[in-house]
Amino acid sequence: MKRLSGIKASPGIAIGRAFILDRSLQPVEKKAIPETRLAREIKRFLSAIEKAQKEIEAIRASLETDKAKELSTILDTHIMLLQDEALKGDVIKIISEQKVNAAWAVSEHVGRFNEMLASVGGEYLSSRVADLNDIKSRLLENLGISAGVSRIDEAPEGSIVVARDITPSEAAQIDTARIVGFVTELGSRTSHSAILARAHEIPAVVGAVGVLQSVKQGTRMIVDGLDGKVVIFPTAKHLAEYEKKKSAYEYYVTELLSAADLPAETRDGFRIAIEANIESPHDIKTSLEHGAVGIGLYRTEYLFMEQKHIPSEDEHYLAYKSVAEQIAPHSATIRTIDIGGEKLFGAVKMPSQRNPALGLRAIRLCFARPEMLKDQIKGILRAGVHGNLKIMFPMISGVEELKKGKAVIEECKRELKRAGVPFNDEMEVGIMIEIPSAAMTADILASECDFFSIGTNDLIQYSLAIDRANEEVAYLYDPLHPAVLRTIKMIVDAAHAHKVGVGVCGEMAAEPLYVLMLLGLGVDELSMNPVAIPAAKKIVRSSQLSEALEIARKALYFGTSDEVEQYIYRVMSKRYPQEIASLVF
Amino acid sequence: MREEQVTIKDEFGMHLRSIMSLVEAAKSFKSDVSVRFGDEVADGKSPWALLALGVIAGSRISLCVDGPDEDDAMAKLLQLAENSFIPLSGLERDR
Repeated sequence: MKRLSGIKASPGIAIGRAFILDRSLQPVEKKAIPETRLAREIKRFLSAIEKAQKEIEAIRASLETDKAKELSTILDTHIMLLQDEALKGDVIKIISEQKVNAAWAVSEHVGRFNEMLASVGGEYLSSRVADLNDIKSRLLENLGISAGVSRIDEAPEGSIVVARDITPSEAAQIDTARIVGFVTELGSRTSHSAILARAHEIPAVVGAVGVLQSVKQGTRMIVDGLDGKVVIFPTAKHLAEYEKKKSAYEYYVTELLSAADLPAETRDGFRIAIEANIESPHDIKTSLEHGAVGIGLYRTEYLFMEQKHIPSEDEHYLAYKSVAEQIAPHSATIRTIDIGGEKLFGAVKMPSQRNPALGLRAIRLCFARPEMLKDQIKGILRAGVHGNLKIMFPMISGVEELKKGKAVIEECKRELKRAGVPFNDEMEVGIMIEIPSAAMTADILASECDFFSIGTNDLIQYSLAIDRANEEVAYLYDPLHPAVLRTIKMIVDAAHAHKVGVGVCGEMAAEPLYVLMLLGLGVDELSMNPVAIPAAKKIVRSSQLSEALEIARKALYFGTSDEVEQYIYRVMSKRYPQEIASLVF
Repeated sequence: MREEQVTIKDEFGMHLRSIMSLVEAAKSFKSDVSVRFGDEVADGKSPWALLALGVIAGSRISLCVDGPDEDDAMAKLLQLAENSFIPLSGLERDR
């Protein structure tokens, strides 16, 4: 058994036998062409280009489906490159000036570009070498030179294609009935093999250095596209383990993901909103595909970490505008920066603190640097014109902080009004409940804001005095501690008495075991990692409100978390065995 | 003749797809379009020439447009440049 790591390029598990793609390029000979035959050589080159263009168009036409859209865009770029007069001009110049054969001229010209692209660097640019080589091979073939034709069409059933890299033309010839997985030595998530594998929904790992050396034609192997692992010569134990993972994933895709658009409504008609946690506007597409009906938590810290400088009001605005437009008609809750503490970040310099989790972080840091907060709030208020956005403050410990935060919002509104900049004047304002003092005063806070979102990770950490990062005490971190469950119940009751909605956006929300318990505790919204959404929705759809209320009532009754856990596990694993197991990958 | 500077914000610089969208836009106008990067100038209607510029992430490039419809052409190019010449959803994110 041998295990290799690579980049996860396309999700899923494939178990099969290696099919090695051999593509050794034949060297191109330089031949002198007599003056009198140069015109004929140029004509040969031009018809090779024309033929190449027609061939690519034919491949492109054969895959005009929705899924292969990215691949056909790639082929479009190839057609565009072939049509460029500059290519024709440059190659013709080499042929006529050096009096050489067309094949050598093509090879020379593309070779120069490849060297240049590789020297520019940048992973994406250098990976474009694959595009140029694909064009080159095709032209050479049309000029009568065997360019080591790839025999991907000869792969037997159950093949896992193993190659250095895969060209777009090969990619277009993939027969999904016979090819079950992919492993390449080169490549990144944006390389052709990766794009293609995702389009065909074939598990793939790219950048698996050493894979070609480790397998022979027909070697038994496993591709784990969920974790970016390749297992060669698996033992019976590995095979069994991966079969299990494979069926859990397939259940997820066929039963859960396919039904992700259905509402999270119990059989007796009670609805709960299932939303997504995101870190960037780019995450919205995935969120919607997994059935999110809004964004319950946009962690804006990543704007600060990625940029390496403090984002300007306009940078905030553009990011939030994109979120608002993409998620419409649903809403997105934007949490103001929650940096400090354990989180690393590029843009904000922080003094080192003895106890960062209890130190200058989140809203406290914002009040210490009001300009930074104001730029963000103005960005949110302005972007609110383009869709339904909400502002959420993290780490609120009491009502004074909430009032102070709201005063900053009012100040921002006055400044925007004075400057004549359009903004949403009616935006909802909510807070994270994650500090025990906020939970204890939830009734007071509820009269001052529009919604709550319970951040269970910090709430548990602060309630139980556990530093999760400290291995010595991490075992005490316990979402089912009776104190945590009672706190959640208390927050919900206080909020509902003031007609304020309550969401849960910590890791607890993403755990399928806890979905019905949280529903029964009265939580109105669950916001989670998009991947967890389909299972949560399916559980809600298969249940009744009475069932959830019963689970919550019992869970609150036990004196120890062990009892709670055993009870919940017993009930849930009996009712929803596959949903509970579905997230093992 | 009009000239504007833009920054290529895409983390992969000017890659084939962004070049394609620039070329497509450039070809839809009568005006000559050229792109200057450092000392090099490339025909905005030639993908090979643009590729040869090797524009990496964070580079400032100049867009030069000259011809009867130069204002419309420049407006279109600047609009594309906002998104580094490809729509935001065009590339999947690595995470």
